[in-house]
Amino acid sequence: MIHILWTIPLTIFIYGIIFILQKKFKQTWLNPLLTTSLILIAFLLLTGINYDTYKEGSQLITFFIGPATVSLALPLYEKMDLFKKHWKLILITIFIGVIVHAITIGLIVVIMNSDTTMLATFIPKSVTTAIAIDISSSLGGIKYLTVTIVVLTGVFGVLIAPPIFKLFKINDPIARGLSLGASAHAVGTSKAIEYGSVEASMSTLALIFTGLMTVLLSPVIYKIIELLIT
Amino acid sequence: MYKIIVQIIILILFTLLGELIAYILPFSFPGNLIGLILLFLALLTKLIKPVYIKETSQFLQKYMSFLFVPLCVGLMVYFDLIQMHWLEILLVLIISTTVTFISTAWVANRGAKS
Repeated sequence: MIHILWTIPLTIFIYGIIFILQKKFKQTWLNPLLTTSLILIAFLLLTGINYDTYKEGSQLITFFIGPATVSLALPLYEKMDLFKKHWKLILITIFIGVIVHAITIGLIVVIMNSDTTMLATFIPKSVTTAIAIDISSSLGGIKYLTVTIVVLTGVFGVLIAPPIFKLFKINDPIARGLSLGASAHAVGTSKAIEYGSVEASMSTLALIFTGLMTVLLSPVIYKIIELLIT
Repeated sequence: MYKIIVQIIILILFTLLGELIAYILPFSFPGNLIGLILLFLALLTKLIKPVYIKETSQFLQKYMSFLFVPLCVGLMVYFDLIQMHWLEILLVLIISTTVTFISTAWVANRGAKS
């Protein structure tokens, strides 16, 4: 328990610096979660402190993932009018996203002759982190690896968003918001905020519904792909 | 300060309620999401007013990625596994994300126009 005295201040300190740097330079790859974690890994490796010690000291941080996820009910409630207006488009887009995502992962896992642990780790890849770790754990994946892949997906999604919008002439703000939220979750939503308020609201709705739909469909998706690789 | 503490307690209560229900349910469903749905229903039925949770919710969402740092650091235990599976991870990241992005953007764009 004594470790809490250095783990939490150190984590806040590093995250704070990266957060400010990212606000200043607006570089997506400078993602605060990813960069802070890499610096902390380097710190732990250099000092020879093992992960369990750090993990124990930072339990309080991890505890708040629950309440933070629950609090997403508020933006969902506030955007209910928007959802009622576009519910068909939102649900169809999210459904297509979840299915296409599952098919591409299935294909890669089959072609690469991968195992079920990796499959379970990959399936929640485009879902917001809080929900992704639950899906990964319940399917038998490695949640630590899922967290990283989820974040990298978000960062990569934001990097490819402008060229995709240009190349495929995606000019509609609703479409931009939905695709950012459905394929790049919260990182995508932060990009959607830069585009405008319609994009931001749509992206938030997309990230919540992608989470819900993936939770419901992932056991079935997992079973189907599992049959193909075993 | 008093207001913020009440807001945190409300959010924690809904989280615990969600976890409890998830524990009782015969199938696996994330407790966090049950908490989210319960809070959403409480907002719809005006049992909870948005002002009861507003500041804390916005704060938690703004810095949400901070909460995942300890888990992301846990990656250091899995370096061997990453070395073994790096190509799949890379392919999944690039191909799956790009294809999903293009298809959702395309479908939504067509749908929004019609």
